[in-house]
Amino acid sequence: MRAFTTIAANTFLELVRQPVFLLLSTATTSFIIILAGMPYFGFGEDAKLVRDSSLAITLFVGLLAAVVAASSAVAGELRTGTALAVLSKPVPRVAFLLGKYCGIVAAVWLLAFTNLLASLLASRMAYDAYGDADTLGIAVFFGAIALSFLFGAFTNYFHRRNLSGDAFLSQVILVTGVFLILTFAVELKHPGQSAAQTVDWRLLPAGALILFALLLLSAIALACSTRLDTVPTLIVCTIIFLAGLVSDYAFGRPAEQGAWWAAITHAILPNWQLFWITDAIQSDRTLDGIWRYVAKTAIYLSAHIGIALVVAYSLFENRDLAGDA
Amino acid sequence: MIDLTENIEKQPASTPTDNRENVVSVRALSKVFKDFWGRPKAKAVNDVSFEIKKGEVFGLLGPNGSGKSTTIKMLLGLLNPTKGFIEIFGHSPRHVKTKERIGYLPEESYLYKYLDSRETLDFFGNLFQLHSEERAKRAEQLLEMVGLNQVRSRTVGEFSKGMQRRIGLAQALINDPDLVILDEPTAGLDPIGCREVKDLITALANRGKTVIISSHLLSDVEDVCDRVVIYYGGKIQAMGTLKELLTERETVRLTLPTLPREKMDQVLAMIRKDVAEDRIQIDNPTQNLESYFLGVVKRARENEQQTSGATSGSTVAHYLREGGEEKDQKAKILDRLAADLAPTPIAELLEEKPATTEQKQDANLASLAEAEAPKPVAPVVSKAAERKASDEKADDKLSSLLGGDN
Repeated sequence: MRAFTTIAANTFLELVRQPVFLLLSTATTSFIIILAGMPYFGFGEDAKLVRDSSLAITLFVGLLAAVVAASSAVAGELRTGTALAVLSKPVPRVAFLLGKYCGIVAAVWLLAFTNLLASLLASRMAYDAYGDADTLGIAVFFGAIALSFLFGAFTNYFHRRNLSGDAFLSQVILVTGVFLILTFAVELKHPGQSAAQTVDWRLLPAGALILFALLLLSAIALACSTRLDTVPTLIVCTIIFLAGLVSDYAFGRPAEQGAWWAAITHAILPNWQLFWITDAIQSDRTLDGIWRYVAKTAIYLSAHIGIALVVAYSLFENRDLAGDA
Repeated sequence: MIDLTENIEKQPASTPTDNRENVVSVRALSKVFKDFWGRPKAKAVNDVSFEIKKGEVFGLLGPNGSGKSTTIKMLLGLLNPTKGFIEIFGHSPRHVKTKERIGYLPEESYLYKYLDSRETLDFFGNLFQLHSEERAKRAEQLLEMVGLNQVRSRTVGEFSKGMQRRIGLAQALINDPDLVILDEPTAGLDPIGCREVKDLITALANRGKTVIISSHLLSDVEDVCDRVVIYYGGKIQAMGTLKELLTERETVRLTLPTLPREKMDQVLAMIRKDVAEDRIQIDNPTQNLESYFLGVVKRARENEQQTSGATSGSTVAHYLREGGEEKDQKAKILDRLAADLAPTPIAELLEEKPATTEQKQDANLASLAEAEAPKPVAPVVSKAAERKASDEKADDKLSSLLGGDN
């Protein structure tokens, strides 16, 4: 157990200290907030446009981060030999693999969490042709981003700590603080509106499903990384993602007509449509039992994560951990 | 007449004592790497067998690609043998309990580049389930030992190759292992680092630890190993103690204090009765470059010249010393060794350039005889006796390093 927690914690630290995480976090949260600060003249669909775009960015960046993190934490370590030093210690391979998975998920979730907070803020800031940009909210948000960099620079200069890691983690804390303050302590009223504009809380279940999707893709990327390098992992994950997106059309319909191969493929392939309910939210249909749907999806997710981790373990348990160099 | 071969011929065979515990047993080990389609690509190790006893310093020698690192990775359970049998401490190398007693320095020390030295050692200590206080204590001592205590807050990714080897060595020793496996331990290290590593290996062996070294730097292996195997093409080409492999039983070397000319003539005349002129060689022993280099560095350190890289603290970590916790051992290896090796000015070294050709024998003889004052003639020392004296000196030195009662 200690080996597992040690490896998980170390994987998380190593990942969040990579400049790419700070870069992704800063770029995506800033972009999401900027999306809410611009007029679209969208015939009343402006807010929906912002919500849709911000969740899409959260999902896409999360998927990218999951693949990069898994490749870096497993394939990269196997390639450079770091994993050899770790696995020459009393560390069961299953503990190594699960520790890596949890470390990857923690880092990717933290990134996605920040993006989701930015998306919730953006849903509050979004305005139509009759409204105005929430300049106070935008200024406070970018102030927090700037402060996180200053904090990272401070600890780096005075304590020789890792700038990227400290800036990223402080960014998560500061963005959370800004979200709580703007949402619960500052009233936002657009001209002509009688009620204050609030966060669109319907994004919460949508965000939860995005986190689920990232859990699953991290497991798939981990399984690929036990045997493949970064680029092949990225290619395989992209194929699985695209095939999963069209799973209902490509395999679901033939399965309904009795094609056994389609039924099996449809069952095995993760159906990413299940994790995307933004369209349902935007159609303004009543989402009765939305959390029940999330719970059902969690069961589907557990089965698929289980399969992915078993595959990862079987690929890793007996593999040679060094080439013929 | 002095029988110069007498002592040598009476030397006992230098095989390891058989009643010592077998730490590593390798029998008929082979490893074939396969390509993507499962076809054999390279036979890295081919029918290798050897055993390593407790307390031995065992060297794996061979050119690049000869199978040394592959053998080591199989010993660690990182590679699966195609054929053959490996047992470490009586168990499979993949057994987790076995790994608790092993310390491993990989060929390339690519550790976590965003962790600093202190975090790196804490991480590896945690894998051995060491208590946090023990981890902290050992990390401090190891950083001091490998000379990285001044740069503990720098991330490993910023380290030079030599510094990475040092932190790699430190992590290999965090668990006070019974079996230490070092893959190219001196690669990338400066001469001081090499010397420190070799001293450390000797110190570990004196504590009864078993050490396996893989290297293609023959001088390193020669200095510390009890027994070696020489690989080529995945096969063992030679195996035995260094004495067995290196002793030239047909020749003898005498080392004497400077003698007056007439005494030297007498000795030579006696020898020339039995040995052809062209087979006699006379020269002055010279200090080696490593010793000279260490002397120069010692002088520089005395002048307090600063360096931004690794320093040579090199106190053997307390817990790695014999009876470590009880003894307050403050002496530094390098300082002690350097003190024993009085630095010689370059000019003197150049004057002492050996003349080895037979034609210069007489000239050498003359110069050797021109000693300021004749000293009492020391008894003729055979090669075996010389070696014994050298061993005793090394034992004394290590005894002082390790606290005095090895």
